[in-house]
Amino acid sequence: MYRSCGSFSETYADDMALLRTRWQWLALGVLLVALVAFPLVVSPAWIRFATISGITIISVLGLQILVGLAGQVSVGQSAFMGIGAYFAAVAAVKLQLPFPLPLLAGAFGAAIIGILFGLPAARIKGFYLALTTLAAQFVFQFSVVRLPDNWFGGSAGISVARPFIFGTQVSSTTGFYYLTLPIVVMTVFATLFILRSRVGRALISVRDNDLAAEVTGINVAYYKVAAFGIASFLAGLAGGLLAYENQLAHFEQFTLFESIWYLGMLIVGGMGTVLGAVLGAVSLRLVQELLTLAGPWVAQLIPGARYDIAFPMVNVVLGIMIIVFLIYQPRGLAHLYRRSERYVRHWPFPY
Amino acid sequence: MLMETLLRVLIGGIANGAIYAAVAVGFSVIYRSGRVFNIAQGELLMIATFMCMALFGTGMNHWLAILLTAIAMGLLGLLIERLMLRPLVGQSEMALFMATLGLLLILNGLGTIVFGTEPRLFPDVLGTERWRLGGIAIKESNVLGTALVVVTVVALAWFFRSTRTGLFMTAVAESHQIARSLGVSVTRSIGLSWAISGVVATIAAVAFMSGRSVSPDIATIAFVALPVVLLSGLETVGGVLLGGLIVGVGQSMAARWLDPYTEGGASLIFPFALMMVILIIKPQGLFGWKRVERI
Repeated sequence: MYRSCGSFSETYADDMALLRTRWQWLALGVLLVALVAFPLVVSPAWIRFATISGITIISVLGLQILVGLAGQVSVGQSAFMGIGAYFAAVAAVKLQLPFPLPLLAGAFGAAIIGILFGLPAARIKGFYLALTTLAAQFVFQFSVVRLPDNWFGGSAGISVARPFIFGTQVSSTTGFYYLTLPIVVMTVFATLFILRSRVGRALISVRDNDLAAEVTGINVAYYKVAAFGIASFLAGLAGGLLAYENQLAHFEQFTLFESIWYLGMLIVGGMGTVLGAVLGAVSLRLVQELLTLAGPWVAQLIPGARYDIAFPMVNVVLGIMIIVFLIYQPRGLAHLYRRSERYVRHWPFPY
Repeated sequence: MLMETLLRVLIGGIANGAIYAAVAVGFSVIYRSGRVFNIAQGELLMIATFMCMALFGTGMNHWLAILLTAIAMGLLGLLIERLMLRPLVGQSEMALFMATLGLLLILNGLGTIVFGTEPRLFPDVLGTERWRLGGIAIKESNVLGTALVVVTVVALAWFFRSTRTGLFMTAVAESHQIARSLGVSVTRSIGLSWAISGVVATIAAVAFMSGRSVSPDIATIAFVALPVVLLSGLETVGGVLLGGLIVGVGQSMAARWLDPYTEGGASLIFPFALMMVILIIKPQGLFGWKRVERI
């Protein structure tokens, strides 16, 4: 890990600390205050954008553990979000469970199904494994509609009422933002801890060289399947939150394109770090939001273009970003950030 | 009565299987000459279909339009190699796979922007007659389309097995480094495979879109073709015919006997269930190269 000159540890506790200097504590404090104060200064549309970005961060963090740490590509993350959303909706509507429980039901339900689809990891690796996640994506899309209507609502989906906290319903956009924020922050820290734990180290060794990992006594198949479990758990949590946010669990929100976008966020943000997942999720959601706003304008410029131009435009721009980042900056925005940070620290010296 | 149903299911399955084989051969051509798994194969098919239709719209001779489309698709393949894959030479298979995911987004978006989302009718280029065989009507276009695909696949299999260029390309698939040290150009091999794949996409478009209504959604057919290419093995070219046959007939049987109980779900899920089974039992497929890992 990179440390600036003069920052050294005197105890083991110091050495393990996430936040090393007073300035880092200050920066974290400022960031948290800014996040809490954010809804007070912007319009509801942007508060909703922030909520969606937060939910995306949770899902991309899950993908980060599977792809960035364990090195197994997944193109089914949004299917697992969908499974989480449906389980949460059933728990909330049919079983009438009180608020945080449906989220957990969604997360654990998605984790179990994620583990099922991850089981082939015991035998195969690489993009063969990516294809099983692709199969998960399609099996989800095709089967949810066709299951009996009284299970998952068929083609109409399931409507979910906003959650009640201490007897009051969180119905406003701002209220839901404040509900999502602590969950996102907790997930970020939980992922940081996973990265630094035995599990995280084991996953990294599986990614870098699975044979060497096996020889050093790491149960490769177990950890790969575990990575699928954690990734789907976080996807399910995000999906449950999304169902509450949209007040609907519907399979059309969880398409293959969404899955590819999540993977794109990881590529643009940077593999293997929490910072990368956060930066990638927020920046690509921002690009998507801006393009959606710009869609009608662009549609007027192109003769004969249809009004629904925003969605394909987002696809084109995201696709180009994925390829450009893969070619020119495979370590993503997180690496750019670290470099600029180093530059500022050393300024005016080059190194 | 049962015989007739069985025959009908079989014939429908063969026609479906042939289109899967046509798309699958695009996957395996690209994979076996550069170890790139091109997930955007369906998008190439979609672009070829709509380019063909746009040229038909200008009123030119149908076969000339198809020829022009094939040339344009070949050039598109070369362009993709030049812009996207050449800078990524030497990267992991995973990075290349993710790059083709980006390509899928780009081509899908462009296709939707340029051609719109409403379904349109592809002209009957392969004839509209129906032949009768033992009381069952067979579409002329299906027979010709299937024949076209079989000829294409057999020709490609011969190309990879018996020509000098084809063997060079196989060497590149085996190892970029060794191929290069023997004087085989890796970039040219990958470029050629993408050009071939573009042309094959055109042939597939002509063979199967004839007389059907098409929209950019047809690109999803590539995902149904994935089990075909996995079943036959990623490196084989000729094997996709058998893979396509199995998946096509299996799907058509699922559609006939299981769909009434599952609201049409069984035939949609069948290919993916099959894919999971193949991946678990025999990941290298029927004719693929088995890779033995040693420490």
